[in-house]
Amino acid sequence: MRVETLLTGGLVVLGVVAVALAVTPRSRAATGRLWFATLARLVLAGYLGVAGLLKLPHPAESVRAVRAYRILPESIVPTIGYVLPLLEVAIALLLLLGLGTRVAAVLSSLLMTAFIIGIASVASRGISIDCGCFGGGGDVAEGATHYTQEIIRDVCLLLLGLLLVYRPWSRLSLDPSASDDLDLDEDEAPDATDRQADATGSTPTPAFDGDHRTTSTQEKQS
Amino acid sequence: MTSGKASRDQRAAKVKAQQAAMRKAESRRRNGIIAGAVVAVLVVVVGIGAIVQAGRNSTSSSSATPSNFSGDGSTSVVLGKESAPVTVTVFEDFQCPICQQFEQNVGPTMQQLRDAGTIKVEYRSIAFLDRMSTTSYSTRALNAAACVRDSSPDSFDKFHALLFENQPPENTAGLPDSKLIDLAKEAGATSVDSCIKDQKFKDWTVKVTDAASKDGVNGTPTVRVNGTELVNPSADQLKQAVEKAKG
Repeated sequence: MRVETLLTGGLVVLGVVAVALAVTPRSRAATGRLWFATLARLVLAGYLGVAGLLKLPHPAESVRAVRAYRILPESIVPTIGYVLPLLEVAIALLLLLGLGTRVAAVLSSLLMTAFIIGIASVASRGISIDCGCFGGGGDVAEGATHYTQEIIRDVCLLLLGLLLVYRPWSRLSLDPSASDDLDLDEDEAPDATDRQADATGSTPTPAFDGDHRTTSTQEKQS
Repeated sequence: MTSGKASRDQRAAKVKAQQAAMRKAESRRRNGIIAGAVVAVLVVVVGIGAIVQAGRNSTSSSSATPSNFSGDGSTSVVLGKESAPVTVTVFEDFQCPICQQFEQNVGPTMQQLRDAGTIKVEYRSIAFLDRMSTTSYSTRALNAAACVRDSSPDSFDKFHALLFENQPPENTAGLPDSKLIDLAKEAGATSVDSCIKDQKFKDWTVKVTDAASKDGVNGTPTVRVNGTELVNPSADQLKQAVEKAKG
């Protein structure tokens, strides 16, 4: 319990930093941003990886944990129970490697949103369960729930994920776009072509446009 | 300073911009390929994994089912007079400490009501706490109970009580099979050795646990008096519920 509180506290700090980084102009502390994104990747990968690996050896238990939320229809409960741990491990692996970071971060954010809704739902219905986040699950005694802490934790993980959706570039990443584009960025000011692409905002290039768009909007605001 | 230098700078800048644009186009293409590959890998890993997981969990249709169990899918042991007006259904896991307390506190009352012919007790033992021991004691104990009921039906009652009296603490290795066999013999059961050692009814333990979960049991002990659920009742609460159900 103590350790969990500490970990959640640390996550809250990271979540606050993530929000701060998302709303400040990009030009400040570029290297710091890249390393923070790396940290965000690793923290998310750690949580998702541990959660998935603890559940993988007990598929039946995982199914029961999903069922205990009394939300999903029985027809899809087993599938969710089997798929969820795998998805968590797969996303964790991608984040660990920094491969397809934006895709992985989108999936991770969707998962966290689902978890937050699930936990908030059981809490609001007055059901006492173990969230089964790291294996286990099922009913617990009244007053033995940790909904608040679980929701705080998942919200912070969601914030980290969203930051990576917004700006997926980081150090120690396999995404070639990250290093390539960033070399470009650091050497040269955004040129006319970039500005044009940014202004239309229609090009769905994950690695470049979003970031420049941010810069320009931020500049306009200030 | 001179116009010549300025135009050189312009040209250089232009070349640089072109190079940058090319690199950008290149990285865009790569991004597309990576995104596609990532999604493909995710789909394949999760898809195949899910099938494997489902396969690990499902049991063969030919799996052994113990005799002398009642209910759809042979899930329960019913003790007491058939004519008893009230049925008390008890979902328990032999590894569950609160179930042990429940048996200590409410067990004697249930025994009295049973003897008086007021209730029959439907035990639906399940095994969902395997992670609470290093040896899947939950499953081994339930399998042993099935072995006892299968070979020596009348010994189940005593064996059930003995399992709770000798319940191992959580996060230990649990009782060894030899101890389970000893307890079964103490309860009067015969020829259960190989059944317990080989976990003959292991697949059945998965089925009954799954069935209970689908019946809305998310924890143990879950007690139902003629279908009405009580959350970990005291002896008095159980008595009241039985009186009420008797009408």
